Amino acid sequence: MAEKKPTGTVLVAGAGISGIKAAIELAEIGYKVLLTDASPQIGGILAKLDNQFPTDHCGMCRMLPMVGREYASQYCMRKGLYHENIEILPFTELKSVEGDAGNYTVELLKKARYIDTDKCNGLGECIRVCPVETADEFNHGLTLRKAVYKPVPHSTPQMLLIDMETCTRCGECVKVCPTNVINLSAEDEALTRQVHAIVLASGVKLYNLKDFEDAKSWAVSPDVVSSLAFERIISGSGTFDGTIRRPSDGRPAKKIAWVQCMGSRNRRQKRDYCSSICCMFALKEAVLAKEKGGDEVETTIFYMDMRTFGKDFYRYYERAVDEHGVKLIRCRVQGVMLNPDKSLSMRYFDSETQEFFVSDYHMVVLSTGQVPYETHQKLADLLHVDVDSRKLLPTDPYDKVKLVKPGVFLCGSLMGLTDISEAVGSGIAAAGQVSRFLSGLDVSLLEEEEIPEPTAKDRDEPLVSVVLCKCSEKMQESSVDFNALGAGLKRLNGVGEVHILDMLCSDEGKQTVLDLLAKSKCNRLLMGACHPFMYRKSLKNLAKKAGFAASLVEITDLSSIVHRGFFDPQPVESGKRDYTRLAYNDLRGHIENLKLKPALHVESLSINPAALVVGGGIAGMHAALSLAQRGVEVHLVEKTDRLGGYAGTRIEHTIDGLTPVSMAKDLAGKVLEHKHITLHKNCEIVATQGSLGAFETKIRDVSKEENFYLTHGAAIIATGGHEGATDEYEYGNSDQILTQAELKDGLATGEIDVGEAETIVMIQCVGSRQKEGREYCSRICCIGAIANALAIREKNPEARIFILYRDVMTYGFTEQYYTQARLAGIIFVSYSLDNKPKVELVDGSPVITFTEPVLNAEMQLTPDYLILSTGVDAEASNREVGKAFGLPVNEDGFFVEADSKWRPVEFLKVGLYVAGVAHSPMTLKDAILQAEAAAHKTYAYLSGRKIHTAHTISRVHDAICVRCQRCVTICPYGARSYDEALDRIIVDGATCQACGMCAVECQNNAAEIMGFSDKQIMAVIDAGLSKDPVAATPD
Amino acid sequence: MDFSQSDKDLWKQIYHTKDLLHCFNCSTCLSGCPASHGDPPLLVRNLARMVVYGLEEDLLNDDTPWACVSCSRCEEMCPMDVKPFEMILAIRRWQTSNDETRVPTAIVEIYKRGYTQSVGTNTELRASLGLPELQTITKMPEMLKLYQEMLMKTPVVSENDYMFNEE
Repeated sequence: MAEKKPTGTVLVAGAGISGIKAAIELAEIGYKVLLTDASPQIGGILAKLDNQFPTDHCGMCRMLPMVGREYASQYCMRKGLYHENIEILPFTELKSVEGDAGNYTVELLKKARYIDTDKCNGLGECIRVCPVETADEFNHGLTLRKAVYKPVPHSTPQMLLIDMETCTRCGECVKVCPTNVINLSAEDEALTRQVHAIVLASGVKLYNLKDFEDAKSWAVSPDVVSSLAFERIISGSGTFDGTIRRPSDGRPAKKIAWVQCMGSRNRRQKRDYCSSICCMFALKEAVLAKEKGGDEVETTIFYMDMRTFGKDFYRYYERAVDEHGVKLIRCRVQGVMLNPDKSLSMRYFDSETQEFFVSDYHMVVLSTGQVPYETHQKLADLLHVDVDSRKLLPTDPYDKVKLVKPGVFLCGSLMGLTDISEAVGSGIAAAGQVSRFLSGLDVSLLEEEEIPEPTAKDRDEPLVSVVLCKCSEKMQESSVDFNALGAGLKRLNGVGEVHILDMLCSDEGKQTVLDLLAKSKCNRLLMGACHPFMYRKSLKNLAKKAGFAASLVEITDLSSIVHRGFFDPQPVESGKRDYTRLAYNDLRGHIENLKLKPALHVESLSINPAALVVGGGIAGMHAALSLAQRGVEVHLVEKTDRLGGYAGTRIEHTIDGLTPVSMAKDLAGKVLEHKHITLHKNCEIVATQGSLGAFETKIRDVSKEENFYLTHGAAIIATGGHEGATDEYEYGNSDQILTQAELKDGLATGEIDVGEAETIVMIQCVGSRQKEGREYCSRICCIGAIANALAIREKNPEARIFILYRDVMTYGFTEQYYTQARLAGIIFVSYSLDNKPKVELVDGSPVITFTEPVLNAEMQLTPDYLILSTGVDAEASNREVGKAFGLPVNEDGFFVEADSKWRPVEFLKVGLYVAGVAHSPMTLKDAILQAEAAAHKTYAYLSGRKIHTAHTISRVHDAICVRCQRCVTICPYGARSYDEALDRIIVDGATCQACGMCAVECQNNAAEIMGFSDKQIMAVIDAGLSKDPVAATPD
Repeated sequence: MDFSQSDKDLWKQIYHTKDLLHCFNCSTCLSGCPASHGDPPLLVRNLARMVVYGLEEDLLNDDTPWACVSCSRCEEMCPMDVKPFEMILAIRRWQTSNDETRVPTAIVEIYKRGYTQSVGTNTELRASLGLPELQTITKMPEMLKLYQEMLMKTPVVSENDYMFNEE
């Protein structure tokens, strides 16, 4: 017999959102994942953020799989993550990495928690008795915690630990612990694991007032807080129950100021980069402060450049300023002063009036940025690689998630601080790269879960088996009378048997249940156990082994009732709540529900393993190759007669040394050669129908003037974009006025000679970031203008180059190009939207007048060339492509993804993805990252693993449906459609998430969520409210 | 103001250092500057802009550089390490060498005796604290000679040497 291949195993070091996303994506395609985090909990920064831009709500759970959703945990992700294929190791440090590509030995140090969290019931008696109080890291020291504590108060299960730095070893916790799980002499544990690939997702250190010398002058009051601490202050689960109060005395904070670039954009401290996310973070916090604190709250942001470069960022900025009245002051303040009344004053200069002002604030929030170099150096040492010239981990020039060391990838804020959508996108992209890497190794996948066939037994008269776990003897003594409970349940109609067991979670307990159930005549099963978050999956598996249909098994949290009873201080005599009754009613509700529940069976989707990629630009080609490398058949449709798209045919060089045109040529060569890729040039999308696994797309070959059809399981939209058009600033009326692209082309061909030029002026944001026109930042124009300016400088060092800008959008490490440009003598002058530069033609040559904001003086320039940065426009064909696929396109012409933060490359309709400029203007590297992510999402469904619908989806009772289509309109997932030919409402079973909106909307009860009939719900409510006594055993 | 009239290389005359070019007008230098409380205020950032733009005439007539109290806080806080205090001194030097009315009266004192502040007022206090008497260069003729030769090598002294004529 051949030796069994090892299971492909991946270490994901860092369990913030990018690491979690990478882990889920890898686990979903069948790899074993080891997810570690150095801190005692998972979730990273997001564990602390209740509200996320742009919805100002949380949406972390949207990262969970949408199809086959019942096979992963479906819980609030801020509480925790549970997945069969992911082993989670919090409080575990990566100590060493040895070995070669595809065969790494990693040494991990699992730090002692001193509490066995598997057995801890999380009720925190130990916390109650602990005499030690110290600053709580979770709330940034704004509150106190005990030496034994919950690192994230809302996590489930409660992952307690003891902080030995402050513990006095008094032993009170040991005495009081009901489950005997505290061991004060526990030791750190060294682990050695073999992994095939590594994903680094550890994030970076953040600037703070404690560790940095140059920050000390800001630490004048507890009311000067970091932006993350402010997040805890406004959190409902934070320090002040969600009202905004200043930490010093708890009084309401009505005037709050944010100070940007704290620790960043600082050459003097060798931190000449932008932290990318702080502008949006501050805007969001300022809006939230207004929303939570009321209109009388005044919010002011002190900034240098408002970097609203991402998709929809600018509109959020407009709303913040216009609707919420967030005040923006362009001034970097030097410091803050504490007043006797505890208020904080800051002095700033208003350039418009050329006056100084001193304003008092109740609170000052510091937008503290990234401090990456130390983390990168440490990781580089671990991996035995050198940091690159930027002092960061050395990555592939085009691929931000790919380290130069084979089999090692990175994602999230190791790439430079990322916002949520970039973190999630990079997590998927890293998973995609790992999957590509592992596909070349001799490793196997974890076995797929067998889905049992429906049996005759399921359709028999309902008979419920009830299995209850007492949890621990000590617990049940004083709370729930299990004997009475069991006897009462047994007398109920439809209950076949009741088993009362101990320690169901132990291997022994599981075996006992299995033996019992194997003999059972029952066809429905109710289990009353603990931690349903943690054990649901394993208990369901147990039931499956014993032959129960998955939909006919209910698991309920009995332990909470037992534990609540145990800790209820009231004595039974003085009318203590009857916990036995409480348990009885709860269990009875489940029994009534089970009795009415039909056996639901999942549908295995038939998946056409081919992918369609629309658009032959760099993103499209990259996605196609990523899929083809893993054996997926790809149809690449390009509307023109050549590959490369805009960047791949127009941009020879980028400022960071990339060569898109030659890179595109290289990609095109590979695309043409690849046996799994079929290229369809000169072709346009006409119409598409179908759903995940079975799409059929009508395509028109424009050159042959004929139509043909392609069938595919999924599709990626990568239609790209191009330079925007303008008629502003006398464009078109003088050959001295050009766009940036025209200048770039002209410089490359030599048609434009700047050798003799004395003055060149560039105007940024032409037609962009304004209500009429492109109401967004095109992200690449500032860097593009700087690149062109530097190119001119090289040809003519004597030329004066002025760049008139609104905000310089050199976010992240691209800040260095802004610095480089100033150093080269390029002069940057800002203008405001309400006072744009004016261009006149005098004798055919442009004359520009503008207000110089520093000196507040009218200035005039007569340049040899005026260059306009006209932004990025979406492809005009996006609307037709969107219509063909039934995909939304926003008012700017870009595709609208499922969720701007949590599902950046997906559409609501499952099986369709977006990558590159079709999504929004972005850099080449970001487009490649998205292409990798979109390809991976596609691959997850086309990899050959079975894809099932969920048990619980909605359906239509055709006989009573009046085809009003209100359910189609209201479905937030686009899972419902009206089929004209069949005259029926169709439900796409893969896309439906059983949210129930259709059932609520339907006036005729024709829309139903399977397994959630009105009858069932009423039965559960009746049982819950029942006053029937728990029948005592008569015999 | 027409930029074509400005001198693009003026900064090289005044403060020829790449540090200046790093300035991105963030205003840090302004917000905590003690001399910015004056009337007219010293606006360090604005001076940096004027140097970069080459606004020669405006700069020559600007008195505010002389309001600097040499606290050098701008130097410490400037995130771009423009060294604004150095720039202020450089502007003063440039103004002085281009406009003789800027030459301070004290220049003769400096040349002749090496100091402008009072050194004699605290003699008793110093003695009561056991501190030695302050030394001045006038008491060391050899050193004074060297010192004066050294000063003479600076443009502001050599170009105005008629003031120091001993005869």
